[in-house]
Amino acid sequence: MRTALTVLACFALSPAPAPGQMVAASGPALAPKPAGPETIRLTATPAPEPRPSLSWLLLPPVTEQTPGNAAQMYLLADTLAHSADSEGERVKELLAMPLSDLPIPEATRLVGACPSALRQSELAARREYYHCDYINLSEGFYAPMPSLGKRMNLARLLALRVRLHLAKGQLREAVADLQTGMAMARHLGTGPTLVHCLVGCGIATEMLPRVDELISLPDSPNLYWALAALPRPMIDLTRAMAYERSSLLLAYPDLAKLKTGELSAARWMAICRELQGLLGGPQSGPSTKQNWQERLADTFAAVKSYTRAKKALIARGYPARKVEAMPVHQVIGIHQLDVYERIRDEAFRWFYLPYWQAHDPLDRATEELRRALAADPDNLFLKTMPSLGRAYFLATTVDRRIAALRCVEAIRMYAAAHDGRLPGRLEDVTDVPLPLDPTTGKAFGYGVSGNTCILESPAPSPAPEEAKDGLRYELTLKK
Amino acid sequence: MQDHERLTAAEQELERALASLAPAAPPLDRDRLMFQAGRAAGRRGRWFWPSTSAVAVVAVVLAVSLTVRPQPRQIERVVFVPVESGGAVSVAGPEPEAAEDRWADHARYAAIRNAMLAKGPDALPTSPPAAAATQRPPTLEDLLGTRRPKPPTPDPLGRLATMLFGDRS
Repeated sequence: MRTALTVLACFALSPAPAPGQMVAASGPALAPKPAGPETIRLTATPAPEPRPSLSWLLLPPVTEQTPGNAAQMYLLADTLAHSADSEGERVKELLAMPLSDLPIPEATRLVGACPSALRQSELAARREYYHCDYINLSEGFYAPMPSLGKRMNLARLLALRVRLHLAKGQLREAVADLQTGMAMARHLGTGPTLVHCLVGCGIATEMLPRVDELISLPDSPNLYWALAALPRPMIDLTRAMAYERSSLLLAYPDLAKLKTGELSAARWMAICRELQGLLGGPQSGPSTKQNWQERLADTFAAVKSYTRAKKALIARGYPARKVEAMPVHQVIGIHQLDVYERIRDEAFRWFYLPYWQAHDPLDRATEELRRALAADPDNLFLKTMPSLGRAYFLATTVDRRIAALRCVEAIRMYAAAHDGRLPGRLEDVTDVPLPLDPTTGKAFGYGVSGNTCILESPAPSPAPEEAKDGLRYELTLKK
Repeated sequence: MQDHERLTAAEQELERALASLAPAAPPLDRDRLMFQAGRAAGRRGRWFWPSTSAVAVVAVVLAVSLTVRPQPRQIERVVFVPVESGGAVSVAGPEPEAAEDRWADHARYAAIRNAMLAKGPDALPTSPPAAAATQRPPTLEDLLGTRRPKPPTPDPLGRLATMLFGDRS
């Protein structure tokens, strides 16, 4: 009775759990037909490696770099990009249409609307390093973030300018803009948070199709070494994942006081409310009011949580007498934090290994997280964890695309040396090393049919609905 | 006995007749009477405890709902008051609570991150999250550097007491 009353007192006003961001399982009533792998069809000519080998680069050469930090310069570029947002949808349409259909006057007008922002981006991309020292990471989830959406729109505008140059046959100008775009992707990809890295992925995903288009131009240079010179990984999640792992305790350092009993019930409830608001999407917040029925339901949930937490703590070796003497919120808090920290580290440790080694264990860690959430749906800490497997996959798709393009260029190099013929097997390409598929750790799949060859990377998951995560290049050589 | 000897023969005959009469059994059955009394009492009190319990439950529910019911929603209105000299001065509604300030000013990092993982870069907002929605014209208090004190928020028991006994402050 005493227990129930204490729980009632502690949790009567606590909010109900929000739907989890991480493991929301409800799907559409009618499942759409699964899409196949992303397929890129190229028609290109054989091309020997350039002389000197590194005469074409996809990142700004050191001779063009200037000392200093790029981060503040990108912020300035964002503030100058007035029309990049309003014309964003049209820019996307122009990026999606075939290069031969690109309306040059309209593309020129759109690109010409933000000259200062694009110039500022060029300067920023040529800075030596990128360090977001204006973001106070010690605030964890609550660190104010700049508007990275504007950066993405500027990157699309830059990609449109690359297309414009390609359509006019201006290769050097196109590559200079590609260097700017890839440097932006790289800068963001080394950023402090996962959001920065995902924006970096997005920028690279806008730029790499332009490399496809460049390769498809008649007499295009061979970019094998330019692609090989790109950093691997292009999007480096190491720093962002260290931040993600710690973001809960950065946002709420006083959670560490749970074990010493110094965290008050009122503070615990405040943390729960804030986390609830954080997980509840844009319409909710910490001050969201509940009706009494919901609060009553929460109270019963809290009674259940307490019983479960007490049993779990005792089972883990906490002295029963000590656990009985703890306040209710402390028992629940210690248990939930223990579970969170165990599951969190079992997932985050795989970011220190290559994706192809981490994929299966990350899947298992995600499954473990699902089970833990099913067992304790009120554990809000678990709900703060991002979809780690997806994050690692998205970052690796950039490297996969670069690796596939290197294979394409190696094949064009082979064809240039073998009278325009395609290699019968990938092993026949011996002039330059072929990269492995970063998502599988194995060679890309390869097949030849006439003057067309196919490079293939399977989706990491065999499920039909995940087939869209695969990649397929169909390269047709013309003499 | 002495009286007996003084009775007349007719009286003595009556006496004998009366003495020969046996007393009849009483018409009331005590056990039956008790049973019927109990049943009658039970019939009368059949709804007593259920109705008492129902009234008690309703009272508890009413008390809980009065105690913990949400505050009336505060609607913030910005009224632009034209003045003869200078620009418009706005008078804003109640100051948001400190916790709401924090939410208004900070990005919902986790929400953006999860949306991007699910939908890609298109999920990014193009303006700083929450900033655009919460921008309001500066209030007179902002301009003068003064802030109105927040109205005290009564505790739930205080609200209940106020409802029952009126505001005695």
